[in-house]
This record gives sequence, structure tokens and C-alpha cells, in this order.
Amino acid sequence: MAIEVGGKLIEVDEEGFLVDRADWSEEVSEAIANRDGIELKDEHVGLIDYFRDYYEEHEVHPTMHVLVQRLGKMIGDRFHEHKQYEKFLYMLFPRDPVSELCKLAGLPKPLPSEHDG
Amino acid sequence: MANKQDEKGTNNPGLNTPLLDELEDGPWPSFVSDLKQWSETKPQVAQLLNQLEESYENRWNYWTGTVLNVSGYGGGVIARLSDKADKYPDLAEFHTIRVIPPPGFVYSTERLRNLADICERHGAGILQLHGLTGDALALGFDNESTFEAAEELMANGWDLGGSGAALRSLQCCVGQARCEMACFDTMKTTRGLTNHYIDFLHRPEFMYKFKIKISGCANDCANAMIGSDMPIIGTWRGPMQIDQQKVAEYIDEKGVEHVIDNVITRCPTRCLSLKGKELVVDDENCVRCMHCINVMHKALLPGKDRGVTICLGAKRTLKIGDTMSSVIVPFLKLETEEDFENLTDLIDRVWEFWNDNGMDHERIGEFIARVGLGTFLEGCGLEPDPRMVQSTRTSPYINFEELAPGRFEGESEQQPKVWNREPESSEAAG
Repeated sequence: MAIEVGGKLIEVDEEGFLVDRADWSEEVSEAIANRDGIELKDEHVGLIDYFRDYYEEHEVHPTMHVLVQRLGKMIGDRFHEHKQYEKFLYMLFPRDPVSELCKLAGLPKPLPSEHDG
Repeated sequence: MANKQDEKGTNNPGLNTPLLDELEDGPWPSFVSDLKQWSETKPQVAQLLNQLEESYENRWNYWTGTVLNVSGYGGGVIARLSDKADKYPDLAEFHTIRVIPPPGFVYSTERLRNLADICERHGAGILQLHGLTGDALALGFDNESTFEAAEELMANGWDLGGSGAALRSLQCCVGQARCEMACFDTMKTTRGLTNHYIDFLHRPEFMYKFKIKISGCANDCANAMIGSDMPIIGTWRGPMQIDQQKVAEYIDEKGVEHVIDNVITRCPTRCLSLKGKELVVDDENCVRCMHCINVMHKALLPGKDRGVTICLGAKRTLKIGDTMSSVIVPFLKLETEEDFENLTDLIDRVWEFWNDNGMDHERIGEFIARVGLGTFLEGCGLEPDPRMVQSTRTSPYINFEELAPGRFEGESEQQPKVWNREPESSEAAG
């Protein structure tokens, strides 16, 4: 599969994750967002940048836990208030924010968690 | 049982399940019989049984986990793919939906029929109600039908949740609604906590799962002590209620010997004695195990000043072996709104410290074992207490100066250092 960005074909897998991470650019991320029916606004772009920076530093994508822990602290001191940040993330990306953000930031697909069951 | 033996394996010509058929023996209800009957309606159930048979034969699990999220939810769907999809095409996607049960765990037949209809229409039509997970599980949805079923469930007033690294659906015993032993309203607490923490059920974000189970007394009908990260167990302060006349009646009916053998000598702390036909309790040594109350339930009842004990840390083997919970808050009243706020405040503090410092896939019991109870209590802002014991009635986690054995003059300080309760002196020491 492939998506067309500015007249160039970019190869993606069937879920839309980039095959080659070097292909990433802001236009590519916009094209993937269009494909998934998400309109990119400032909040989305900021999070995508955060994901890319985090990946560069830690060589692993941030988990929901990290997002709520680090970014949620800006909302309030109480633990219960941090959770509001997660709600906000789910508003931006209704289906699996972490996986969607990895996709938009051109990172590898997150492994399925072994948390359930 | 002879009739059943003849019927074995004949229900569905597509079925070949000699090992599973063994599970139909005996006087008990069998899921194999039920599913065989059901497989005549739903072809995927026959394939499910055949795959399970293959699993039994080869001692191998053919399910692979994957991720599937309903819009706006992080949990609620347990996605499974079959490794044997070429052999059993209907099992290629076989997801489970977790439905949060109604408060009180009581369904009207109409609601139950509604739930069953939705699950039958979209999935394999297999329900598991209130196993150890506490929620209602609906099995057998593929990718598309998961979304359809979830939409329809929500439109009908059901809610999903309680899977993944999240707070799991709460589980409780029948409580004051149907049991005279219950020391607090378990069902009200369950409902209150479910509503208060509904976001935590919907969207996972913890290091690993967290389970809260709630039992009205130490009989622990909800299996909280062994099966949940945070058991909330009913207990009482002060003396238990004794009706001496009923005690005398019980002794007259059963005889003194019976009472001594079954009540007095079975008290784990030996705090019971008989004075003629009067039962004397050494209240200071009573550990509220409920044994005497269970046996002489007409004469004895839990005391009047009731509340809860909150424990932490039970889990199955993961990083360390199986553990049971240990006490974290010996007594907490749980009657008014304010008490309830105290409880949620405590849970928030515990979660916050665990969440900030825990490692991936670390249950709270392992976390406490790793950092030590002293550090944990400090992090959560809780007071150490001699009732926080590592294993039943033996060694406390923390040694207390005033409880330590006396020392001779000139004898060196006890190692490891004992905890001193006065904050000033601990500051001076350290």
C-alpha cells in the first residue's frame, strides 16, 4: 500500500504505519491523518512533535502512562485531575491515542500490550 | 449418567472432542454440554470446541492477543486472534467484550434478555456472568461486529470497561442487602467507587491492572484477600455483641462438648472461654476472624462500631510469587459521604505513588515488596502501625521502639534500627 504526498508515493502498511521512518514529513503526517479522518490542529501537531522528540531521546514511544504522568501534571495537582488529560487525548484521537500518534509521528507500530485478560 | 454416556459426541457430526467429552461426566453442569447444544445454532461454537480439543491434546494455547479499541474507550475489548484461522475460519477474530454489571449485580429478566439478544445477534452468543473478574463477558465478536455490538450495548444503557492496565470492574459480596454479618454497605461502596472511578475503568493508563474487591466481613465471600490488589474488608471496633441467653440455649441444644470442640478451641487467638453457660471474650485479643460468629450465629454478632480494614497487595505469581494482602489501614469508618471521601482520597494517594514510581508490569504488591513498606507509607502519607504484618500474626514490617524487647544498660542499639514514633527524635537521629 502507499499514499500519495505532493506527487510522491510513500509506502505504508495496511494500517497506515510508515514502512520507512525516514519518509516522515509534516505533509505525510497530514496525509495519514486525512486517511484516518482526523483534522490536525495545533494540539495534534504539538503531541506529534512530543512523540518524535521522545522517541529520539528514549528510542521508545511514550505510553499512555507517561503522557498522563508528565503532561497531565500541568492540569492540576490531584491525581484525579491528571486523568482529565487522558480524556482530552481520547477526544483528540478517539481510537487508541498512543497507536494513532505513533502512526502520525512516523514511529513503529506499538506492540500489543499483555495487560488484558 | 449412563444416558449421557451414549449421547457423547453424537450431538454434532462436525464435532470430534473425546477429551472435552470427559468434562461432561459427573453430576455437575458442564459447559461442554451447553456449548455442544449451542453449536447447532452457531457454527463458530463447534469450531471453538474443536480448537479447544486441539489445545487439550497438544497442551498449547492457540490464541494471540492484539489491540482493538472502541471509539473513546481504551479498555472493554479483549481482542484475540486464532493461530488456527485456516482450519477454523470463524475463529480468525474472536474478541471478548467486557460489560460493566449493574449496581447490586441484580438484573431484571428483561435487561438480561436484552444483553443476551445483543450478544447473540452480533457475536457467538456466549456469556460469562460474574466470574472472578466481576464483569459480564460476552464472547465471539469479529472486528466489525465488536463495534456494532458496542454501539448497540451503549445505546441500550450498558457500559464497557475493565480490561487492560486499568482499574478492573469492582466485585463485592452480597453485603447488608442479604447478609446480617456485613459490617458495612458493600454494594453502596462498590457503586460509589465504580461511579467515582469510571474513567479509570474506561481508559487504562496504569503500570498494570488494579483490582478492588469488597467483602462485608472477614468471611470474605468476594475472595478479596487473595484475589485483589486492594481488598476492603468489613470489621468492627470494641466488643462483639453477645446474647448470653441464646448462648445458653445453644449449649443446651448442642451440649458443652460440642461448643468447646467447635467454638472455644477453634478460636485462633484463644480468646474465648466458658463460665458455666456464659461465653467470655477477651476482646483485646480477638482478631475478628468470624469463626465463633459463624458457628453461633444466633447468639453472636459483630460489634456495633463497624467500619472497614483496607489491605493492599494480593496477586498471582508474576515478578514475585503469589502473595496475600496485608493491612494498610487497620480501621476506617465507612458510613457518611465524608468517610467515602477519605477512602477515595486514600486510593488516590496510593495510586499516585505507585503510578509515579512503579515499573512496567508491576502490581502494587510487588511494588511494596521492592521499595519497602516504610518508603511506601512515607510516599502515601500514612502512619506506620504494628498491625501491618508481613505474614499472619508474626513479624511486623516495621519494628517499634516501644514494642521492642528491653535492653540492658550499655547494650548496643538494635539492628536493624527500630522505628521511633516521635518525629522529633527520628529527625535528630537521621
